Amino acid sequence: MPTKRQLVELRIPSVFGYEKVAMATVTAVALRVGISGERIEDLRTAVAEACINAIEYGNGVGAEVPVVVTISTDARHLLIDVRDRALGNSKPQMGKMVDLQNPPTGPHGNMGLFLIQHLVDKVDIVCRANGTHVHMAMRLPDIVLH
Amino acid sequence: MAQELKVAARYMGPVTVLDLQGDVTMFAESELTRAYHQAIDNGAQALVLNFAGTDYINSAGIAIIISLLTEARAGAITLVICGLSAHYQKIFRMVGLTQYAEVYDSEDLAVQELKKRGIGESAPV
Repeated sequence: MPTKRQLVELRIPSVFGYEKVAMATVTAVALRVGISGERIEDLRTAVAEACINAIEYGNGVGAEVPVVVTISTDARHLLIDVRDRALGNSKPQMGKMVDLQNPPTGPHGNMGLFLIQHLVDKVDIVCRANGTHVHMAMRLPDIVLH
Repeated sequence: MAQELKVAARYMGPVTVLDLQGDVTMFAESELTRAYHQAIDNGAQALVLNFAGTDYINSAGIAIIISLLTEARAGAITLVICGLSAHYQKIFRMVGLTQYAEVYDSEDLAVQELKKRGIGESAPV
């Protein structure tokens, strides 16, 4: 069983734009654990989309309700957990590739989860009555694996 | 924190280059659609969306680009994209946008390609 070590817990208000704070924090931690280049960009985009979903669908854009971002490591991965309070009126749906003959109907084309799934190494979405958790994992580079 | 999008239009005969500066998110919709419609009203046959001044595009921003692409296709307007970072080129490919809009590394390449197709031969106005 890999040992999980929590490094950072961040609370951002449910206001669009604050996802950039999560992106910056994740970037700083990812660089510290040896993730770089395009993998950082992938992680930044995945975290931004998870936060946007949490802000909008999870917390109903209630500024006073935090989105909690937890950053941890286990032996092989950088782990990012984004959780909301499930206060929104709807859940994000899994989008698909663009088809202009059948344009997306969701406000974001429901592309957030689609992008997350394609950008990180593992994703697990757990919906509970008191909140939705998006668990993302990015494999650590071999050089820092023991 | 969020960098509000500004769009500046450069008219080059039938080609209009729209220079995007700032974040392409849900808040960009009115500015992007305003610039698009103004270019069409001014007679643009082809539009180059230049993302060189943008370093943050999210799914809501991509949805706005899809909406513009849908409208452009319905109006027989050619819409091409340039100036995206390698990461966002990958994202656009990933979501399937590149099936509908050609993506060029630079504005020069985009305009050259439009000229090859016979668009953009007129003198700049």
